[in-house]
Amino acid sequence: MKINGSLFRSMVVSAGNALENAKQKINDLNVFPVPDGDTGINMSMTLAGVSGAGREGETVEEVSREIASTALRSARGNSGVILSLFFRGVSRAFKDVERADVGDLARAFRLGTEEAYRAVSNPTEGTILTVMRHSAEAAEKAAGKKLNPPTMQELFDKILSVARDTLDKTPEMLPVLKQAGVVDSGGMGFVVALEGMNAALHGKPVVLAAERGETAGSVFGKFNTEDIVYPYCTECIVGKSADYKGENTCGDFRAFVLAAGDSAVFVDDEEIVKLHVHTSDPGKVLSEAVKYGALLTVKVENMREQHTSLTSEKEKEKKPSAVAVAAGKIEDAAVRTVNYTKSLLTPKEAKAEKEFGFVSVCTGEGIVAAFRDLGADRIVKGGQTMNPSTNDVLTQVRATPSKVVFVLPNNKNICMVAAQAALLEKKKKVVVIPTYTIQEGIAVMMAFDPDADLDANKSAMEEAMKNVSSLSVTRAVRDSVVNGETVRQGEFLGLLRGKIVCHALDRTECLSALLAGVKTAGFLTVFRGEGVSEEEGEAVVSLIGEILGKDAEATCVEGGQPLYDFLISAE
Amino acid sequence: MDFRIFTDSASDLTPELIEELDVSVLEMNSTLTKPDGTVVDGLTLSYTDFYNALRAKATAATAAYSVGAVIEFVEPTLAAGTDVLFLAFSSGLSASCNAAKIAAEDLSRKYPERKFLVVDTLCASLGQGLLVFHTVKYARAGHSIEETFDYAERTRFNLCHWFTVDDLFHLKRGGRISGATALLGTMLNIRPVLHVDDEGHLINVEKAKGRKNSMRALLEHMKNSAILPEEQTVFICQGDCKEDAEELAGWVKETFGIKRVEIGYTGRVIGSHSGPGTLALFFLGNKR
Repeated sequence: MKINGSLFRSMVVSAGNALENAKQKINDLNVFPVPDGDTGINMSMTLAGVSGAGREGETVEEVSREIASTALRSARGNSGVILSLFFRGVSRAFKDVERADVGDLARAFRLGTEEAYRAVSNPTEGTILTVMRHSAEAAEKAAGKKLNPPTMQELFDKILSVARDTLDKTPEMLPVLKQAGVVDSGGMGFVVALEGMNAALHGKPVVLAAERGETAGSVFGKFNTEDIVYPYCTECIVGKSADYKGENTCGDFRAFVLAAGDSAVFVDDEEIVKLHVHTSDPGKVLSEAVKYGALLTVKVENMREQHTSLTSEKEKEKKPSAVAVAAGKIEDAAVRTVNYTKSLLTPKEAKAEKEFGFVSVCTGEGIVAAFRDLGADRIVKGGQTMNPSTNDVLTQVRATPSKVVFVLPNNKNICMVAAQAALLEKKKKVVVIPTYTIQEGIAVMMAFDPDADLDANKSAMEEAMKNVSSLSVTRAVRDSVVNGETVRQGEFLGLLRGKIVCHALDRTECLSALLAGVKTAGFLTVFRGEGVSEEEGEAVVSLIGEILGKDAEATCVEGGQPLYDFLISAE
Repeated sequence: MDFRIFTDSASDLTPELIEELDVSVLEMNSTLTKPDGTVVDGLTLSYTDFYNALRAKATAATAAYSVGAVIEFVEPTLAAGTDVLFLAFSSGLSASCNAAKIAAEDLSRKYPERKFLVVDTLCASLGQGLLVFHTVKYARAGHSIEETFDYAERTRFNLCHWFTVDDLFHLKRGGRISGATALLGTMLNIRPVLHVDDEGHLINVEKAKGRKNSMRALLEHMKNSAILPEEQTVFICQGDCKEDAEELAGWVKETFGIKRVEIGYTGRVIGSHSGPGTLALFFLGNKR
């Protein structure tokens, strides 16, 4: 059996669906008690944009190239980038291939693995990379057998089996996994993706659980066809016209949609609006939609017809959004589609008006304001829980009106995405300064000198990054054992550049322990998070005075960041 | 000394210094507009009240003095038979110096046997005051008005002005500061460190993190350029931040072994542009 374009496409779509269905399970493997961009969501989002609709007779070369490009742009988090690079390697292997045989597949795994390893500066064993590598080795060994060569399905079964075994061994390779008693989350994601691909190869591609309506035949039976008051399930993605660009600009439209029927979901994003509503007059909704921009996708379904056919046929495979499932699931799917659609939009290039510009990744109104106050040109929203995609970063890079664009990821898990965005930008020179924290990002911007040249600025900024200490205070999101210490959910954690150094039930106690570890600091900035009052902020400033003495000058600024009560930079 | 030295109130000389130096000071006017719109004559307010008003976001303005005002102020001295050397506020910050020069031409025609010479100090506040101080010293050593004029013209380029501010609002508003980057980082306690350049303009040189570091920067610049500091008299002006001024004075004395440091208020002319919390250090250096 050879894999043609359409089969390969369905394999990858199936992989994406499998990841989406398993995302919570994968997220839960992240045992670090600090809230962080979740591997499950990141890897799922990376493949969410792959379209199930292909061209008649498309080759595996065409499909793999399209998938590589989509995945690259939608990639989120380090694991998402690594996954997308795997598919880039695959597409390189499938060059000039119409239908892939076992040899092609084995080569695809090898090149995919190479591509992934190349992009990681410090490849660590016991992660997704190891699972990839072992799978590729097994594939090559099996496909190379002259006597009794495997069929395609046998080969893939073998690959999957080796991948699973390797995954189970990851705790032996990474002590932190062993301590937590879990396997590596990126590795699990890769295995899930392989499972999805294998399922499609065997003729049973994975379908999204939400769309299947997890409630197979039974729930449909409970509804009467006449009970469906608003029969037309109407979904539409609108590419916003210039007048409406920006988040939350279509309040009137939202109100209109909400009043048009029920089960309404309205996502009002920077570049697009995604709406979903059950209505009796879909034309009215669409006529309203054209006022706000171009209709990128439109789908109208008659749910009464579907319902009738469903209850009579009890079909498992069904079209999405037929019957109202929990609003949360629809919202989920809506956000997922919004994000993948965004990744398909080509961002506009702004003309260079000056030498240097800055793109900073951050969340929190106050923090965004601080970056702007220091001269940042564009902001990518996103940080701790929802990592931005390559395209999100690229969009802002393109919109920066300068010849050279500095990108500050401000998060360890966003560095690779920033690097990929830099590679995608052809016109401007993009320099990523690999900041791991917001505090480092701020220090870097303070070190910028518009009159100095690129190299002088790079050194100054890298120096500034080294000289700042990033302290933060957050709450543990789960029980965990870290460095032999037991941490309980809800306890306050004190972190130094992302590593837990102390924990306590009382926040002031935690802060004191954290600050005590700071040797000498003359200049501190405290960003207070969402829900932390000005008085509480001032109390921290006083505490700093007590612990670090008169020579330490501290300022408290309203950061408004979620999850972290305090982000403190000390220089 | 057979001539008199004149200056204007932009020099911020304290009453004691004015007496000690025996100079005539042309008062410049100042108006304060409160946020509610009321207009007050700045000269009627004490320095503390003036700066508190600025903290409350009042805006202050000064006007260059006119040719007529200079003539009115200087003529009596010329008429009485004494020559005048006028050390004027920086032309880089005000049109005042120009008015003085025109007045000088006018009066020279009217009193052909008298000399009325104007020096564009390219200085401000107690920097200008310090130039006056040194010029008086030079004149009192027996030099003629022409020699003293030359001295002032040479020495003005050695008059170093280094300063920092608390609140960038006033610098922004006044527009006397060059370099957009001076104004970044207001939210985060980043302070500009500024100086007056050879053209008499206020220039942002660097950013310092926090007040203490900005004060240390002033001292650093003095270390880098002061000429024979141990023999100098140093002036410091403060915009209602006396403690900081005293701390800085202490550092200066300790670092250089200087005996005399004079602290005065940053006057209304400069203060209306630099705002409360302005702290400046003035000394003789090899270059500005």
